[in-house]
Amino acid sequence: MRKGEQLKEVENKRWPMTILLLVLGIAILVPLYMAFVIAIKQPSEMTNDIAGALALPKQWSLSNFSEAIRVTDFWHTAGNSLIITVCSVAACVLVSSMVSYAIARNMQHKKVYKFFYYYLVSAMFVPFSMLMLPLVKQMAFFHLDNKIGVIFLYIVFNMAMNTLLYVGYLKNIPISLEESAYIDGANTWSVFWKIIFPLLKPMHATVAVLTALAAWNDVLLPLVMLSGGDGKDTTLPLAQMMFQSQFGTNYNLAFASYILALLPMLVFYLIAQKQIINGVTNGAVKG
Amino acid sequence: MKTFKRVFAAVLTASLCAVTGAGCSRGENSDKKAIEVFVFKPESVEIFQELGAKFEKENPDIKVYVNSPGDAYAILKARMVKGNPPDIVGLDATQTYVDYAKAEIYEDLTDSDIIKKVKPSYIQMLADMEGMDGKVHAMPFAANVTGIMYNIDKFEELGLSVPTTWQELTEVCETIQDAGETPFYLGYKEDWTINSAWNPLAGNFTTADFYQNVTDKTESFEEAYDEPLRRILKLNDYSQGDVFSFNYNNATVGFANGESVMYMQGNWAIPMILQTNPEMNLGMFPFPAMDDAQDNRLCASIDLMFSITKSSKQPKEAVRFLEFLTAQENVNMYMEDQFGIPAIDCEFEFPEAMEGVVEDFEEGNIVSSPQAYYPSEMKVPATIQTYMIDGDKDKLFRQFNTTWQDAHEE
Amino acid sequence: MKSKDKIFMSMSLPIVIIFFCFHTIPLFCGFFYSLTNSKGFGIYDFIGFKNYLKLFQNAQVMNAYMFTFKFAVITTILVNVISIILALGLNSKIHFKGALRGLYFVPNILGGLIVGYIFNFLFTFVIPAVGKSLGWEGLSSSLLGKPETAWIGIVICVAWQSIAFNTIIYISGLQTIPEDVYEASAIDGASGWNNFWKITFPLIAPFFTINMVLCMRNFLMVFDQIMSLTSGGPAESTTSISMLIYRNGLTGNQFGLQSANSVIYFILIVAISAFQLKVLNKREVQL
Repeated sequence: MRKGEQLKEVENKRWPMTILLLVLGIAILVPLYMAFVIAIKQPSEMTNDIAGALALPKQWSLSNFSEAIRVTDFWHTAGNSLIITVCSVAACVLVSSMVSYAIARNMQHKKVYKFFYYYLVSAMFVPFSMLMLPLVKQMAFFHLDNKIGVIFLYIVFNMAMNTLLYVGYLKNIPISLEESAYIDGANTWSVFWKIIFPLLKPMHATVAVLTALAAWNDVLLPLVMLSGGDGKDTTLPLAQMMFQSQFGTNYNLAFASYILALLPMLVFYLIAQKQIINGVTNGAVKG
Repeated sequence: MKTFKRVFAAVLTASLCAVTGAGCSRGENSDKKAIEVFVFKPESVEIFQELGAKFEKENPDIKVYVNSPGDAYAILKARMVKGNPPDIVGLDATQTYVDYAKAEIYEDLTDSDIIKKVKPSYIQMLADMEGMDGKVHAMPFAANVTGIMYNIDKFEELGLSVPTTWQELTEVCETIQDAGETPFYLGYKEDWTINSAWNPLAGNFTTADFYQNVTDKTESFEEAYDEPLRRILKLNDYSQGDVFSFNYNNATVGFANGESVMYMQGNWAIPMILQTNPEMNLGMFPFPAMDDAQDNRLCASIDLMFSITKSSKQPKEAVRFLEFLTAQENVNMYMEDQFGIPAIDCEFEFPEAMEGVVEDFEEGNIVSSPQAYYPSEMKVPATIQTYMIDGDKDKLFRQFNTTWQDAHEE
Repeated sequence: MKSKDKIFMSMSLPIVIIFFCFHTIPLFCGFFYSLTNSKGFGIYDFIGFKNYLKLFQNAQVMNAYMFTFKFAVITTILVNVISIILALGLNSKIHFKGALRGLYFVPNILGGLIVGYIFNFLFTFVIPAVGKSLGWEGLSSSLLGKPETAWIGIVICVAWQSIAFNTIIYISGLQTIPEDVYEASAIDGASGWNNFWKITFPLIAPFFTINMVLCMRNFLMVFDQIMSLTSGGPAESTTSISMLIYRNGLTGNQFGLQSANSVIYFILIVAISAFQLKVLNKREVQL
């Protein structure tokens, strides 16, 4: 953008629209604000009216948070969620980009790759509830009803979407880049690692964001896979579910625990907001 | 085929381990033998962890894991599907338990030593419920009573006395309403809470043979449940209104904070009520379901009972844990924390809040909760909830009859 | 050249095989169980297609389908309409553009289960309190407490979360439209409304297609929010198909029957998605 245009742009910015959007934005903040306010109150300050839910307390108290950290074993469960999320993201990026590269470079002239493509992508439409029980049986049979198994299944279940994204993006990367490398005597592995993988960076971001959100917030899969044994694999949403039946009568404590469960993602979002939104945008435009 | 499967599994597992770069072995590193105790009551997890720690101290060779997930029934099912059930399963008295017993997942405990520590009446109750020639597959540990809890202070304020007949109950409710207060806080959004009213009503209006007779078609749901349905519907008039908007937690908090004078629940709700309002002057009386106080029986059931699974690799240790639980001191620990009633034959003093039900309880004037007999597909509370909304009695009975028949045709 | 093919194959085939084992095999197992009277454990018999017949006579199953489709169609339309409007607003010349976009994306990063818990409180206590103080009959009791309105509560909660993601996709679509297209139409004297239907909408049609298909698919599989908002009640009016399969198949004893249900469910999702793609693709105008 040239300087002159930038100036013109500033003048043309519209306040009415801005204000309208800010007002609508309140709809997004109200539930979160309410959760926060309830979380810093004591039960004695809770009344069943609007003020009880929305007014700021006279005295801020963080004791609900420390209590919630204790009863939901927060550090431990958040740690589990973190391990599962990070490993799933890393594995998805590696595995999906590799498969997609093979598919994208061959699907035009080889039927088998075309088949691979449609086979993997069509899985997008299989409801998880259909696979749930047979999968539970199968994973237990392989002794994979643990964190590793869950990570593994996230690779499998995100494969459809990720393949779609990577293949779409790879189609737009000119093949000439690779060809010169082949002429220099590189083999396909090193071409993938040294040339393609770095080029896929924008799409890695997209896949990472989508996989991370799916894995961090997922309930059903960890619920059926991880419950049991010594309970050391419990993830954050699972701890919330259990908490609900255990301490749900203390609304303030409950909301403190909700806030805690939402916080890691919110913080991560605040830090990497630009990358996350760009990631999603890229997926839509180039995928 | 089988060898192929094994080889395939081995290769795949090995490759997975390599890929993920971590070990797949779940074996215990220490010499301790581990047992897993699954309890369906999440509110009891802390006391069981305490008991587990105490047990570990007394038995240094055993490690105890207490597991009490949210949505316990679904998780337990997933564990059964997986084929690695917990060593000890703690459930309440429902047909879910019976299904597992019939699928031969549990050890037969009929002649075991731990069963001898249980009061005979509960073993009889369990044997009736299982209907497997008197065999039992669990050790009843705690019992519950379902009745009506009330705010003693408010009762005194309004000059009310404890009702003993249905007629008196409606009068009490009307007096409370006239005084501008709410008789009951109902949390029917969670349909299971309907059981708290339904179990005493349906239980009192039927005999012990009723369920067998329904299968034999000499009695019918239509006849026996007509009056209970009418009464349970009537109770909604005495509620805070909008009963399907509030869940168990909401109702418990509401009652504890004095928003209603009475609350239909079992004794399991007492810890939560007192946690919300430690100052509360709380009482409990049997649900007066009948027109004649003489006919009225207290609705009771097994609240928690423990089975040992056949697939357990540590059955001896599991038995040791159950033996540990039956010791007087440990029974007391649990009952005090959970306001439970021991099913174990031991000394016990009812807590003050439950004084109103002691007499019936000790005289054995008890009706077993019908909930224990309904197959899970029957979904009684959900069906009654639907009936309360659409008023379609025929639909309700059709649902009851077809699911009952499906479950009982062999 | 031969080695290149080999490497491509070794990049993709193992993954496809793993995918087959942990996605397609459970799918077949699910189909197999649908032909049995299995409870999920213990012994079972092979009963042919009886479950499928039972399915069509089961009022509960039919209700779940009715609810799920009603919910999915309405939410899909609602979400897409609002998202397009928001995207137009957020893409116009406004102040705090980055911050506003960031704000509007927040709901998408939060877990459905916990958002459900928060909205549950909002619907049960806050909104009725607001309704009462304003004297609005319709709002003075909880939306979730009545079968006629409970589904609206779920639509609101799910839409609140999904609008975020769809808006971002539409914004990225709008950004692909070059400015000069509008300049040309301004010379022709086209108005804003005409501009939208004649230029903007056709140009973002591919994004509309993606959003419609993904929304429909996601909403047909709705689970987390229902779990935390209503658990399927009251009077089973908000039991979605996923919920029914989970509850009756897992907690109840209808493993075989619900497997049959999921087979039908799967076929329907595929059919609907294929239909959508076909119809919507016809309307697309490629840039």
